[in-house]
Amino acid sequence: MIADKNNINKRILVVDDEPDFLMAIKAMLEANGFDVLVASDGQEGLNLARQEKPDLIVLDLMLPKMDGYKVCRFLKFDEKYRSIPVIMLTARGQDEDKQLGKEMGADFYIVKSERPEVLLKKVNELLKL
Amino acid sequence: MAKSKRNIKNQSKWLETIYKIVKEVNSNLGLKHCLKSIIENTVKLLNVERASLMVLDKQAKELKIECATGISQQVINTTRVKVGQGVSGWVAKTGKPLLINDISKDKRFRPREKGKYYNKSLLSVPLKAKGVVIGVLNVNNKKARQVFTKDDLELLSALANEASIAVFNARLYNELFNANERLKELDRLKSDFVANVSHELGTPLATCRYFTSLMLKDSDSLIKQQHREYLQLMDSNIERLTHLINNLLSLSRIESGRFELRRSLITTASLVSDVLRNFEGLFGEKQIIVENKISNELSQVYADPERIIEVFTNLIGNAIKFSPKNSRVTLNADVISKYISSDFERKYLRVSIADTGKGIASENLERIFDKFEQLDKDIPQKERGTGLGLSICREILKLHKGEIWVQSELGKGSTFYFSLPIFSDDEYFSERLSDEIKRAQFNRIPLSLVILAIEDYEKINAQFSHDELLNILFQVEIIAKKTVRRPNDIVVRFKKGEILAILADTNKDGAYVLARRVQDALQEVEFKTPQGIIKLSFRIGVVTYPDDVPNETEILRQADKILSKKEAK
Repeated sequence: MIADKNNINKRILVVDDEPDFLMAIKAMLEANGFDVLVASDGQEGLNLARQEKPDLIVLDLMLPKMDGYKVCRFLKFDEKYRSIPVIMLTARGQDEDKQLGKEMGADFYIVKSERPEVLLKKVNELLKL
Repeated sequence: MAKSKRNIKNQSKWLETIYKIVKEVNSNLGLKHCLKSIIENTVKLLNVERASLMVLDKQAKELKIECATGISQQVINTTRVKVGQGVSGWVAKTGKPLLINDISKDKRFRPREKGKYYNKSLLSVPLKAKGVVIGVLNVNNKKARQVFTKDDLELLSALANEASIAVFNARLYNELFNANERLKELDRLKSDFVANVSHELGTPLATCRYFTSLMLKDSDSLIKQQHREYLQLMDSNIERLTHLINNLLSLSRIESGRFELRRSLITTASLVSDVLRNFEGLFGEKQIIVENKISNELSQVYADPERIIEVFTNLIGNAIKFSPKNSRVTLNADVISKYISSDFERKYLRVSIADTGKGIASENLERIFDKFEQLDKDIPQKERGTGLGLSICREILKLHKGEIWVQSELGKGSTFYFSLPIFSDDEYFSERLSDEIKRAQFNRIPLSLVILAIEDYEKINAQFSHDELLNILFQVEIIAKKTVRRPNDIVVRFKKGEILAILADTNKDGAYVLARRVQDALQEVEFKTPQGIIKLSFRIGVVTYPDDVPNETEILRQADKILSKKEAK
């Protein structure tokens, strides 16, 4: 597999509490040449985001310890991390979630059941690749 | 998030309980009132001092006094008579009336307390519903101090009959009410179950989808051609399952009644072009020509764009599925009028999606909108849908006060129509207001309605031509919009345009600040008109949810009140 050279050195943090799904996203992003960091709960995700300052964050909504909204709000209300694009990911397609996600400052919202290309396209768009 | 949801759940449970109590009190009040008048009539007609109506508690097998005259409240509250015990107990047990001249000579009963009764005569009749005893009606102490007669017995039986009907109806009502509540609860549970299951299925399925897609894209791997085909099959089956789950979720959410529309003013033409873009690949596969005749000029409708996209996606998807290769699908829209009551005509946007497929037999035209109904068994398994699409469409349109229907001829094709109401300015305002209040309730924020009305509007109305007036009002609106600043504040012109309504997420104090700011801004403006420069003055009013009013009907009433108070400043 030839990784996209443009993506080299772009680091993406993925936060999800489903280990298999986390691995799936990681594999997909790595296959497209990204470096991937993973976290499996909200607190760990927030810590890693602050420590590592990734280029983009893919954030699940329902997370143990701290939910995705909170993580997002912490980051978006902080001068230092505000510019990191956040994609909210959730199993639900509920519109109320979409609304809340936007209010919390998420840059985009993707339903897990959508095709993987949708996520990939959005990642590329937000990283202006 | 979860917590606020729980709060809302608790709150709605609480409201439901209150609602139940009110209902119950109402029905019992009806019953009490009715029984009271029966007792009053009994007293009058039989000329007695004491009358009591007892109702049988089937489970406890005892009678208690439901309504009485000439008996202390304490006795009424505490008396419990076992079936078979004493006079009323005997009547309840045997279901027979009892007329006794001298109770002391009747070995079935114990002698009665002295002092309370004029003589030893008593009369007691059963209350029956469908032949089963449900209570007892007792009388004592004829005012003329005589013994009871056969005539008295007949009269009392007739009264007991009336009372039976009242008690029976009230019970029936309560039973029905409770049964209905239980059914509603079960229905909610069912919807929750479907929603939860669908949700739980989502993530594992998404995982499978990511991995299959990853393997399929891996061009330099050594996957056997046959395995690649298997993967493709897996992929398309995952797609089907995902689609099914999404549809189930949609439907269960709509059916649960908790589904909230997120309506805004939308232009149908632009929605449709978005939808069509998603279908491009599919049209090409079957070489179907899509003719989109939906004009940009059509009125906007107040609807939930996501849901209307869902309707379009379902209907266009069906049209492609049922169309032969190289055929044509035509989309069109126009405005129709319909009387929704004898004196109220409403305009609707009517959209049509026509295919040239095999059509639907007339006996099936209604059934196709039912859940899980798939009439065409010839469609290959792969292309079959979920059987939910059309019923989702129907539910979505119902929520929008619109409709869906179909015209079809076997062998010639089908045309699906759906309609969405085009609201008048005033209707739009109250629909919008109701949505905003729901949103405020959900987010637990205050919502204020700020009203600015032009003073002496009649004079201005008489002074200017229609067009000039519209021009002035339009300027007023623009200035108000500029002055509110916050993008979330909504400015609407309503009634004949002389009233500006601003909806803002703010409390009463904030609303007054906003109202005065807009008032000041408007009163400073010199409006240029063909008849020279004029200035306008405005009176203001503020109604705030939830401080002043509990719901949107009240907010509108309150607003009307403010507007009718000419002097209000």
